[in-house]
Amino acid sequence: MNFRRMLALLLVAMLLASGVSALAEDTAEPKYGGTLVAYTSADPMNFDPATQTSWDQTIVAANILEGLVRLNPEGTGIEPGIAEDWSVSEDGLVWTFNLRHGAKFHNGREVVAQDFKYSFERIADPEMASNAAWKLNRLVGFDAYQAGEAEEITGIKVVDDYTLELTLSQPFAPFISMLASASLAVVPQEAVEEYGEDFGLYAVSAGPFTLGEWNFGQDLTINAFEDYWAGRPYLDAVKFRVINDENTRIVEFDAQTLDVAWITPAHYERLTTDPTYADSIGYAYTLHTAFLMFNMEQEPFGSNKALREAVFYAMDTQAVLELLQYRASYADRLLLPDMLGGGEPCTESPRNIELAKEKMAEAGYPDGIDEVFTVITPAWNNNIKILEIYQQNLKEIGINIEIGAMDTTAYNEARNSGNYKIAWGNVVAGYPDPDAMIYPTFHSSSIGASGNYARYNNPEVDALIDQARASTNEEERDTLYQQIDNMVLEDMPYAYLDHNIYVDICQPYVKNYCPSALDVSTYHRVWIDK
Amino acid sequence: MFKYILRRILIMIPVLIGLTVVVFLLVNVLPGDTARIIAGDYADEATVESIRQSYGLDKPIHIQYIEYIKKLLQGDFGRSYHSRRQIAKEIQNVFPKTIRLALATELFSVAIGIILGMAAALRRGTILDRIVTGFGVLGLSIPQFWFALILQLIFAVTLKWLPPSGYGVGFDQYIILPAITLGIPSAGMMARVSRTAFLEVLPQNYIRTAYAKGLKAHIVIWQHALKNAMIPILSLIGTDISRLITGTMIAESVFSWPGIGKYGYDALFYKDMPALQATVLVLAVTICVINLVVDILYGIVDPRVHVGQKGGL
Repeated sequence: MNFRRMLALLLVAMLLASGVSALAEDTAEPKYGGTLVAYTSADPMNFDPATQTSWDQTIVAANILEGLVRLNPEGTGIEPGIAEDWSVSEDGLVWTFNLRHGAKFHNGREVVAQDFKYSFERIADPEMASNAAWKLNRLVGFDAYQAGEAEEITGIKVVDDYTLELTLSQPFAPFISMLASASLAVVPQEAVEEYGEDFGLYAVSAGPFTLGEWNFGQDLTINAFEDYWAGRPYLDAVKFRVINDENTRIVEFDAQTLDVAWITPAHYERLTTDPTYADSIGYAYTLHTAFLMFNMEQEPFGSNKALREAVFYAMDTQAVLELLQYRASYADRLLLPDMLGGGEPCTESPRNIELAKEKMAEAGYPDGIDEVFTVITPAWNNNIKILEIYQQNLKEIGINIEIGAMDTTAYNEARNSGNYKIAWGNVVAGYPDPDAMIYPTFHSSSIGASGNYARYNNPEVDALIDQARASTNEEERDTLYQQIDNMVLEDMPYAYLDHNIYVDICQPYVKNYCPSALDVSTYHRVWIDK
Repeated sequence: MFKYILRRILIMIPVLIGLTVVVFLLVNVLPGDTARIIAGDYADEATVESIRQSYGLDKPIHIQYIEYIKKLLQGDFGRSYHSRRQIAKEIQNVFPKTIRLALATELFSVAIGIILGMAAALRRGTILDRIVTGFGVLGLSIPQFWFALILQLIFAVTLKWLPPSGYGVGFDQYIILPAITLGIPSAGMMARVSRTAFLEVLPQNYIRTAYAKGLKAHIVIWQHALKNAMIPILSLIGTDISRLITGTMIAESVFSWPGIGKYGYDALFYKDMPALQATVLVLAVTICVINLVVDILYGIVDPRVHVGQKGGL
């Protein structure tokens, strides 16, 4: 009896204690001030929304440029930006955005609906040759405007200063996620005209930070924007140092001259077990899937499903994850479990060597294949090591491969033109929506450079993808994407390998930093406690 | 002399024209569709086409070349495909930084190299001589990348005397580690060459005469021997500076030194053709100029070399 009471008391005390400590943490007021030191690998060069391409640009741009909506810090979805809220018409064609009153540009002027019309038409202008123009190509009147037949994009309508109406030529659910792209940020016409071709060096927009001191090739500082619509960020500034070498970043991190870093393999063990950093390591399940892909237009894999399955079941992904220090997770479908349309998490390697051998027999090759296949891959160090593991695995079932490591552009060319039989490949989502992975990889109109490298063509799948894009019902989309992923798995043009996990470390005094699933870190919620 | 310099400059012109052709062709045969690279992954065909047209990439290659040369003659390297900034401005920014690093390195390696080489020659056959010779071989065979990391580890992480990487103005602490990394092979080479040069000079009659007329040893060595040993050293400095200016990429990368090596590396990475062409061209012109300067300096250091008679390149 006594013992029980003591136990109960102890439990209550523990609960209270844990509750109190959690409470204490929750109420820890973020502090204002301080400069966080981050990095880029090359000088970002330019922040004109029209020319955002490289990682070095987007990693900074997401903090300066802002449009109707913005990415959440985790990089898994979007949240309101200059648009306070929005609605979609029944038919999914007309998107109405209500803009915030009082949201300001870095030059102090209020952002109004007309600025979005100007900014979008600027991106779509063929003179700009922007690589982001296609993101707007579903707007009514886009084609006529691009062809120079119209003065404006009729699908962009300024209802009043605070209401913007975008009309699409066909319903398109991922549109809202695409609008979070830094390329579609709002810019003030007067600043664009003032700076002309050098606008990208001044990048006036409406994001939480403004562009500050920029020492070309050395460092770039962004400063808190006092008039940001959500209030100024906690940090006074973020300084991005240009540090190309990964090892140098860790050396700088250890010397406390850098506040965040991606952990290199050589230092992974040391840093992840160091108690100093117990609360300072962030994991991002990136919207990325790696796979071996089969050219569906070439034999022997193209018409032999059992052979493709044999490859899938032969591969020992566990050994690969070990090699990657478990900075990757098993993949048995294209979409990640947490995404809309994602399935059950895959917790073990799909490897089943007996089944793989059966499939080989079923495929008509009980004794293996004589031909030696060259698996093309970009010549990244890890890829070669990974493929060496799979090389051994495939040998067990009588498939001999050579590793065709190539310069990235040469690899892209061979991959895009279908000049291969098996290749390593991957897809990285450009916006937080399953469509960003499904459409490029599976749809027949993406065959070639647009992402369907396996040249997979299934009209049924195409129809379902089109339906999922057109639907504005989340539940319906969820079901559709699951169905699509399952159908493609049946055909197996891609043998899935893994999803990347991105592991960042920050100094213990950096609070609220999390690496982003889209690899676009935002700093407006980060603060420094020192 | 003036005529000679003029002639050398005139000869540089066809060399440079040839160079622009080679650079232009090389960059164009690199794999990958440039318009597609600018457009980025997953862009649709229409976007790629409009980029191809607006950058003039749809025109035949000889037309592209002529347009390139036309602009070049006006001193316009064009705008970078990747950054869309004026390449000339970018080069103006990064190139002096590389020169600075190269000069600091050369200063370091000449000082170390000549002193070591001279000491080894004067103490020929001793332990010191062997150490210097050994240093020469070691300096040349150290892998630069590894050496850079070791220096970083010792001086930045363990001793915390110097910053691990970065760029500063003036003669500052940031330049020390990259200069040593780049300078050790040069110093090794310099030590070997100056040792040999001194060994050749020291037994000469005029040195014996100088000693015989009662000059102090340091005057003989620093004024008489050094000046005559300078010829091979000078030509080494010339090639060395050219090598340093074009070969700083690894050190620039490890030490985050924002020079032209890093710039060219990024240009190659993004297949930024105009930037890459400009980088190669600027470096090539620099090498031509350095060679010219070294040839002229020969004449000043050694009156026996009559530049006018050498002719050709």
